[in-house]
Amino acid sequence: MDNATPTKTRSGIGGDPISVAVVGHTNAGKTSLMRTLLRDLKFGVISNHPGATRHVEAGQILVNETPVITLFDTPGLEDSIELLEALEKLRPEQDNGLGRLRAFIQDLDRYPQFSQEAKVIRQLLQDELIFYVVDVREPVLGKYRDELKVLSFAARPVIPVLNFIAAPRSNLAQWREQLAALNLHAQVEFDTVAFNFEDEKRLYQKMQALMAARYNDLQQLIEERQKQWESQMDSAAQRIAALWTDVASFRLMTANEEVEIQTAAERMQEQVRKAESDCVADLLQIFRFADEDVTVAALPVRDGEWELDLFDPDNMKRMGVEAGSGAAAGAAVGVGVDLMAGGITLGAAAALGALAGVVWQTGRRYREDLTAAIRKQRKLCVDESTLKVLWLRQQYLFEALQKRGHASQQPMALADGGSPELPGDWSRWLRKARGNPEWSSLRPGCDLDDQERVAFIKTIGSNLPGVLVKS
Amino acid sequence: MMPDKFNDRLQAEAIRHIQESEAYAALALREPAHTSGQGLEQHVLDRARQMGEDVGLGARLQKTAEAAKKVAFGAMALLFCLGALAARQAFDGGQQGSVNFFWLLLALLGVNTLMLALWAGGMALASRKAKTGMLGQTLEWMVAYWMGKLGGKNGADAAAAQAWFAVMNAGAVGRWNLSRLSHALWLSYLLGGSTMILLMLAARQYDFIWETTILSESSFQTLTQTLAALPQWFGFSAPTPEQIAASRIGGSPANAEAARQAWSGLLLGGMLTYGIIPRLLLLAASWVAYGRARAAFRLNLARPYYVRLKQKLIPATRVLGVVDADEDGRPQADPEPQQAQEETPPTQSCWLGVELDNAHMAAGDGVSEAFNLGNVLDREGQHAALQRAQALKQTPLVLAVSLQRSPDRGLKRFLAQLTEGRKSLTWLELCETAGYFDQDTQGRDIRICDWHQLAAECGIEPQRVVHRVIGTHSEGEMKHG
Repeated sequence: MDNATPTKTRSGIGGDPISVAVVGHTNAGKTSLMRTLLRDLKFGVISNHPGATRHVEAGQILVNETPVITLFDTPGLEDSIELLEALEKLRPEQDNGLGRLRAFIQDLDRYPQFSQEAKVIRQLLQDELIFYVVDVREPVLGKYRDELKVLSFAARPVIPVLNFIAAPRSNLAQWREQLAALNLHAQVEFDTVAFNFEDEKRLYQKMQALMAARYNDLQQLIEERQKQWESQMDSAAQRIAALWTDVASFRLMTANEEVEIQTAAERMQEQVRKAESDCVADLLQIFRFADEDVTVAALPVRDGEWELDLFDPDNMKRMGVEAGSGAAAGAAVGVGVDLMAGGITLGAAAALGALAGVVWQTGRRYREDLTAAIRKQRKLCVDESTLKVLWLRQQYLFEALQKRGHASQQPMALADGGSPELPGDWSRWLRKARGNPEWSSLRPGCDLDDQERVAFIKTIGSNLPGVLVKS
Repeated sequence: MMPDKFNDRLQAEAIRHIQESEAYAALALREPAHTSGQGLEQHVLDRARQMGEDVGLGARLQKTAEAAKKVAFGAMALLFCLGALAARQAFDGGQQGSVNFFWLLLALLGVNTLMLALWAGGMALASRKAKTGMLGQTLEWMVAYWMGKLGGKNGADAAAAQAWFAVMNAGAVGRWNLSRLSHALWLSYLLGGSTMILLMLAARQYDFIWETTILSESSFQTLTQTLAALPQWFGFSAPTPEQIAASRIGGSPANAEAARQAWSGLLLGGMLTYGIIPRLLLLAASWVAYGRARAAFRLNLARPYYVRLKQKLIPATRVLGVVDADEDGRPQADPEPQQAQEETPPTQSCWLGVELDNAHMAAGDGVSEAFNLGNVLDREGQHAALQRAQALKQTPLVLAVSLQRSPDRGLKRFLAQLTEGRKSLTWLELCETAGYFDQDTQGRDIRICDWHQLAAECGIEPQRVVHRVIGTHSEGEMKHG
């Protein structure tokens, strides 16, 4: 074969990157697999129409800037029955599968109808490994068996990737049986729409099993991806915790006049809204669902905003949050905003620090409390129900983003009536946040690096589902 | 030794502060097209260097550092004068020609010692706080004021200054930097005081006295001797017990000259050993600790900001693009939805299932044995079906397919072979499991269009593409849900 791979750009960790042909029937989800593995929302063309991918398009997975795997997304095999028949009719000199495939490629002019399949076969001959993507919602039809037969001609290790396993109507058992009958035991369940990081890891582990020579490269890849995943989760959790801290500790001082309170409440709502949408944008970016020119329309967040305004009372119903006692007061003030109980909150250590002049921020807080008491000002804060909604919404988004494949086209609808789980330490957190107004970055002069604040955020963040608590 | 990367890291942090602060959004920093280096930190530093070049960030940070230095020197000079003034005030406070020794010592060293204790306490407490107290804030404010006076309002300068202070006032670097400053300031104060004492003692004559109302004389003896222990060790003179006793207010020492010498020796010795030397040592120690903190300063790469940056700077994947292009360039036109009135096939028709799901086999239930050609699942099935259909060429033919299946070129070929020569007699029946497309009605519409297109390509008339829903809604749910 004189078809040199045109894409071997740099050598991998232990040599060239492992080349993998991603093949399968049309519409089985090859491009979806590519998108999910590459975390790329834009790769290739995904469509409900069959045969969306016409080119062979490649992408690489890198570790420390070095490509480890090159994936080739191929057009779908559409008429494997006739293809196999054509291949079987060939009588090449080298009378085996490989010989047939090579003879077929050399004599392509005779098969104008197979221009797409030819691209697939070229990849089969060039690449070291084959991912055979299966839509397990499909019954095991003859044409799929014929596809597998064609693949077997290439004499390359094949990893069947069972896609759409999360779908309610699947023929998973039949597929498993059929693949096992063909000695294809290294199957991986990998739903490109409902993503699960462990499945991705398993895919690389199967590659390790089939390619002993590249074990170490793949091990590095697995570790790197694990690290990436963890830091992604951690980063997202911290982001949510920081948002909650910012909003929960946020307070505004206002003169004790109805008009002024009203204006302050509106300003407060506006600031909180913006803080939330900034957080959503960051989360999308962390999980790579945001790109310069791709907006994910299929989320309950549209253009970085939740569809339902944070202060919309409907939220509470949808999230199952009971309206707190503050709601009555809130109605008078402004939705979602509470008048805070007066009085000066003194923590012994903080007071000492303020006295010693060591902690400027703390000093400022007491000064503010004192001025408020003397000038008869009012303190506004965001009410507890709104904080609950805020927390649950981000938690929901966080979980949804973890499970979302980069090929998913389905809208991400907010589940109704789920029982909301607030963390057990909720009230303690709230007290602590309310007692530390200097922690809110929504007001000027907040020291984001304050270690107590940082530690607090870390604690809260570790309570989000799926986040590993590191010692 | 490794080259000091502190300034590079400082610049990277400055870029972060500028980018994270909305106040400086107008300061449009350009993201560099390419960064190089080994590992994330190198990439981040390289990026910061490139971005900083555009706005002259390095020079601006330098400017802030210079300004901070000038402010610090100014403050030191001021405190030197204040120390001198305080000493003079203390000397001249009492009666003419005589000075209360302990009162003087308290005035000169008392505040210093208290502040030293507060510093120590603050350092213990401050390890939990990132930003260090009033001193840092005041310095920042003064530098901002100073720079504002010098350079007028300049967004980039202000951003650089704020970022510089954010790093230099925070964490271990900030603690030791400000400790350094605070020790230097107090040292100036004490040196000012000592210089004034020397001048006063050199040019004037003072009698040192002490007085008490409730304390005993012996306690003053002990106090003086305890105080004198350390200065004596350094070689300073100290009053003898007789001299101490004689120096009580109203007393008259036998040798006034010697007593004055002894007391002033103790005064200067006390200033040096209890004021200047500890501050000097702490200043040196803070200097060393500051240097260490600078060297140990690292970017917190776990910060969400840097985690996000990592995705950009060290991508985990990359797209290589098309490597084997489609030369045919078949245009992918979205087929138009068909709105034809469905025409039911005649009752005496042949029926053939094509790749039907088991659940859809029910579609052929009513067909008599002779006309039921079965379900085609594979190549052999296709051959057999083609032969049987050939034999029944004059009979109308219903081809049942699953709407769950997407039509591919293989199906098209097979259907075209079947309809060859009997185009006007062929129906295409789209079987659909009830509820299958409930979640995805758009997908269903697209699928129907695709089948219509396939039918058209095989010469089946649009009105002969008919729908059939198999099973009831609940049945479908039970089977698969």
